[in-house]
Amino acid sequence: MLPEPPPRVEDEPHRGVRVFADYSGPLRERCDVLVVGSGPGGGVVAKELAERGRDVILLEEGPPFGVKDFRQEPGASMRRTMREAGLRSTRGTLFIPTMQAIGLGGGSLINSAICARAPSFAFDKWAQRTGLRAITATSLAPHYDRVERFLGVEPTPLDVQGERNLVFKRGCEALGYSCEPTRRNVRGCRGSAECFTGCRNHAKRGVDTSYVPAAIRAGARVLTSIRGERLLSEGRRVVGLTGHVIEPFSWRETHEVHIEAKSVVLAAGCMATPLVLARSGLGNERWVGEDLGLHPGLAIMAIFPHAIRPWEGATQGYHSLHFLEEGLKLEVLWAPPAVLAARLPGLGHDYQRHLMGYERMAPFDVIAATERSTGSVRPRGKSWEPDIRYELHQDDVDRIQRGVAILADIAWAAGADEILPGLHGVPERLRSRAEAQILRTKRLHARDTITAANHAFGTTRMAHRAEDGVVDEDGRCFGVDNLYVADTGIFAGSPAVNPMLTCMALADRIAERAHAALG
Amino acid sequence: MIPLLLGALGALAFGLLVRAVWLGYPPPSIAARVLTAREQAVVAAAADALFPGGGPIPLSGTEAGLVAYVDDNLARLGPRARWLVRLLFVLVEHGPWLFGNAPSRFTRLSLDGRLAELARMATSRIYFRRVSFLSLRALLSMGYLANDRVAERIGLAPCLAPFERARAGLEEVCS
Repeated sequence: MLPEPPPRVEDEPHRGVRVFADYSGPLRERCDVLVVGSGPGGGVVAKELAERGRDVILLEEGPPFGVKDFRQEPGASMRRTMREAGLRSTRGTLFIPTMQAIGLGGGSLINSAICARAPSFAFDKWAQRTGLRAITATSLAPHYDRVERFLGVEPTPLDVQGERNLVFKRGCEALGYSCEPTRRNVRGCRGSAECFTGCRNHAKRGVDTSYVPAAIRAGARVLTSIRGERLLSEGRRVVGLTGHVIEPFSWRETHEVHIEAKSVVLAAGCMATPLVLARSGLGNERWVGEDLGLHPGLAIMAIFPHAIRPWEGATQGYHSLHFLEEGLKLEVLWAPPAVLAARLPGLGHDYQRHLMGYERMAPFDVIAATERSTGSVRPRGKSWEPDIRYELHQDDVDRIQRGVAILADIAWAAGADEILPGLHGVPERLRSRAEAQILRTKRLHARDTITAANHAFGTTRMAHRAEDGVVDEDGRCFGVDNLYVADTGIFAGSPAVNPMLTCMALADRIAERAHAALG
Repeated sequence: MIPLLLGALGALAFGLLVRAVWLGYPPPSIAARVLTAREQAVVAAAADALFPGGGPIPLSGTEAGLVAYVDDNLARLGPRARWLVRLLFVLVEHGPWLFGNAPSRFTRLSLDGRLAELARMATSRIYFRRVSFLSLRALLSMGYLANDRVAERIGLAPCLAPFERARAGLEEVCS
């Protein structure tokens, strides 16, 4: 066995970042702008405002992760990098697992690095929902440009696609469906397929390795292992925030934190920001925590006659936007083998036989921009973890089912021998196109599916009028002059595609507006 | 006399019920951090039903170290998540008699009986039973595939730079 090639460590994100071990007692700080949350929204705002000369503090509840801190075993990885150890789930129609990161860089640390611009029709729907006028594909274009340029967003190169992605491409092309390599914030991908557990090649340009170091270079102070909890306000202004130092991985509270700030930007994610607002008694009560949107997703496993070696190649290197206007985005999927294995059929030796066939499998998934499903995020007792409700409407289940049937078509067209649909009430193995017709003829219900949703948005939605949302079109909280929100919570609906890039473009715009407003 | 007899029979039935439900667990197989002897028995019984030895993958669930894996995992979870996993073990253990499938707890069933019970969970009309099964299988699958010998047998060969190796004509798998 040959030794592994060494990881390419260029710029560990720890440099200049304060970590748990740096705090020996209660913490008091002061700044111009306090940014709560270091994910795609907060990272952008921190860098942009620091580069404009603002005295910025960026808070992150989780620790920073360097290459040596990543774990490939999914149980260990999820416990370290994800909220509630990766076990977070909605309640409502069904349990929908939803994974949110806790670590410097937020979701960009463990996502597949897909950078997709929301199509103009998505913004039209936002306008219909909350009366937005200023947020359009055209008005956001310069902000998308800036973010993409800074991150070095590029299509996934052919030489690291691997067979898992290429069979999807061939299937789409055979059916005449448009498809394309995903555009990603990745530089020098080597096709290790480890996005989910953290890129040991340091190829992913996550927020922790791009915007955060730039913010530090511009003078921002980055404090990790600190949870922002309650905003302090006087009249129509916030004056600071209290919280706690949080020990990594045990998530135990230690010292108290008090930070005075002239302005605050909440970017803790659409599951945490509404909790901070609710417990601070700020924001439009009608909408704080409401209108949660998800992109529910379903996967099938296609089995091919030849070796796929699905653990090789870009994590999600190809996708099809052919059915985007119908609310369907089709993708190649990858996650640690053990995570995907749980949905293989069979028990005992039969299950083991399926595991032995892993080398010939390729998982494809569909995510849906739902039209009629909705949810909410509320405090769960005294906990800082949210109580998430989501009702998946039957119309949206029908939509997802159509996507699954299309995925099956793609698999057959690519030469699959067999499909494992993983649906209750549907045969475990579909061995022909004729057998797969059941994916069109049987009406699925939400609880027949194993649905997951890692794209979440809309709990502090942006609106034109104060009565219709939580923040205005500059991202400023209605009724509070110096409080902004800059995470996916401000989305007024589904972005139709992966939300990260739109979140960053909006954050870039909010930073520009906030800087102007701060004088 | 008859009331006495009925009382004795009732006491006997109650005793048998208590024994069937709560007693008679084997001693713990490992020095666990959090798993009780009962929980270890449930994990071991489920692990060897889901991953029996001597099949396509010779290593059984317990031989692959699943009891220790689950114990380590549980020890590192927060209180709420840990409580949920423990509740899962209770549901698995008492599912057979609670749902009227067998007059016994899961750990007392034969291997075939346990496989049948897991199959009933997997295909149950009750959504929560199916979710319980999926949760159990997800947890145990993560532990099973975390074993190097299992991963090697399946052919899992994660590699930091698979295509550079291929271009260089290197056939050996990565570590």
